[in-house]
Amino acid sequence: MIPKRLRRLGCSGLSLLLLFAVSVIGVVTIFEDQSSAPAPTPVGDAAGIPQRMMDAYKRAVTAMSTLSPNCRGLDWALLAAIAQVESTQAQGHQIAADGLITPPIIGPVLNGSGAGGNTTPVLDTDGGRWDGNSVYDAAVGPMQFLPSTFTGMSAKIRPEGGANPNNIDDAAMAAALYLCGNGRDLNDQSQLFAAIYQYNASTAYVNEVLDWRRRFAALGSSGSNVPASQKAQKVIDAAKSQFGVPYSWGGGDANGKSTGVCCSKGGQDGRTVVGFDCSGLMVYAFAQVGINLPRLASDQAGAGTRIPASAGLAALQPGDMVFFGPSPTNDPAIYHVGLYIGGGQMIAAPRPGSVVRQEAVWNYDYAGGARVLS
Amino acid sequence: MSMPDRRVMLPALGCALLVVIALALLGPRPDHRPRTAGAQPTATMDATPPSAEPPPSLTAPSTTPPDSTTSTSASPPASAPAPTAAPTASQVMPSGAFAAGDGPAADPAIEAQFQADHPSDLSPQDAAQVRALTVQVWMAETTGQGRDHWPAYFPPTQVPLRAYTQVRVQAVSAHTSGERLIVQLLWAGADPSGTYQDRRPAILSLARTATGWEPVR
Repeated sequence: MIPKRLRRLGCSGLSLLLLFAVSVIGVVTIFEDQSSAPAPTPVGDAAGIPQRMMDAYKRAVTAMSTLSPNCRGLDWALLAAIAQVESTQAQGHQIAADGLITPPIIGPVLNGSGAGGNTTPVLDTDGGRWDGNSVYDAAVGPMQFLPSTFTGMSAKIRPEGGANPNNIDDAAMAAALYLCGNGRDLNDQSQLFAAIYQYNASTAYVNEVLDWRRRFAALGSSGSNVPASQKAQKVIDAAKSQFGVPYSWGGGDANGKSTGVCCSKGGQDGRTVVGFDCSGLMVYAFAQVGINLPRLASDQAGAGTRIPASAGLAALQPGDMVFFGPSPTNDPAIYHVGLYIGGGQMIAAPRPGSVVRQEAVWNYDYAGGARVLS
Repeated sequence: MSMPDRRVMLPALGCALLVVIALALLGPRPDHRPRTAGAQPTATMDATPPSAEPPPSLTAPSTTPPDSTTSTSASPPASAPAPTAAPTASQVMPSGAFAAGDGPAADPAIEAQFQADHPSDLSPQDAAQVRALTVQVWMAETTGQGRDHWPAYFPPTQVPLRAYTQVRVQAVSAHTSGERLIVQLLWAGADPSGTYQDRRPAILSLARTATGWEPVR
């Protein structure tokens, strides 16, 4: 029975009430729609480099106009590339506001035993001050200077004293001075090669540093990352939630980690490990937003919009898949996939014996990306 | 049973119509966002919720610590839909396919594929000799060991070497280029930071000598 007061309102009154309710809920719905638009969610530092380290690289480049005025062609990307190959940007260490890195980064003891590839002993030069060893030296800091090399530049870096190879400001300044030498022109390829080679006498090392320099320069230093959409963030969060889970050949599905299958070409038996392989991790992460991917990386490359390798990492958005293979145009030969999270970084299950983790997009064999998120 | 009064029926029908319209407005709306031509994923969507818990582990998790800066929760969002018809790994994973970083046992297959992609114009005997030399030169390049065999290529230097570790050459292919051989190779190893990667590409140049070849820059 409709109460008399409501009956008196009649249909017109009910209609008005209904329209009011519809309007209110409609407005709320509109605002909900706006809130589901891409949110400015930061997913990584610029070019995958901690901002404090980036600041130090730029400061060191600027300082060379005074400390090494004849030096030409030094840029932050070269310093970042050195730090990438020497310490992966001090990964796993804390960087304080004053630039101090803790715990200190200390390389293998150079006692000639073969550890870390060192077969030539380097006797102690710092009394163990920086490397904690008073018999042999070890390379120290994010730029991995020998204590004696760093000490030779410390007065120029901090005339007031107190230079520390585990302070990123001091280490970046020392690396800049070392690369600049007596006024090198690093725009000249032979001088650039010599500058890097004197850092570590290996052509393989020089080429790797130059590869990273190109990568960082292409990504830029100012954080040109496209923010992750809410859906992309959900995929990224799902992948992140699996950090530390072991690699398992054929492992992982839409429900999470699982035992895999027998066997990879290299002999990993996924039946013995609960975890993910690279494409299994993608299947799981995208399932969390209702997307059902093919199981193989080479097939996943055919899902969504293909982003050619020639477009570079700058064409990627967080939430895209990134692929690796011997040829950028041969999808069936793709052998690896990761989830791009911005800043040149990806989340992946890298290989047998490793765990799901964040790492830089490999600087070779990049075969482009695929975008399945609208 | 009497016929309903038209004065009652019309407003009632109007109300019903409004209710229907309101429900239509408030209900789930189809996605009218345009999709890029050719961009339709082969992926499919459904609304079956995933299991809240992953399958039980059969082995202990890796002792490698997870990234301390990130959550390690493995529970998927409760409201997230998941596919029901996705193929399982055992249905589609080819046994004997490559995994990234698959270890030395995969190297012969990687090399076979690499040599198919980069055909050599050398005789099998020359190719084998060049391969052996390439392995020696590249080990010297990355680890420092044996550099004194080629003093012109590796001139003595006071520059320190922080060697690559876990180095092995995975694949080699060489072809003639004028008076030289251009050798393309894939190698595995860890850089001074300890970052291990395989299938790293590199190139060497070799020049013919009276007894074979030697590396040249």
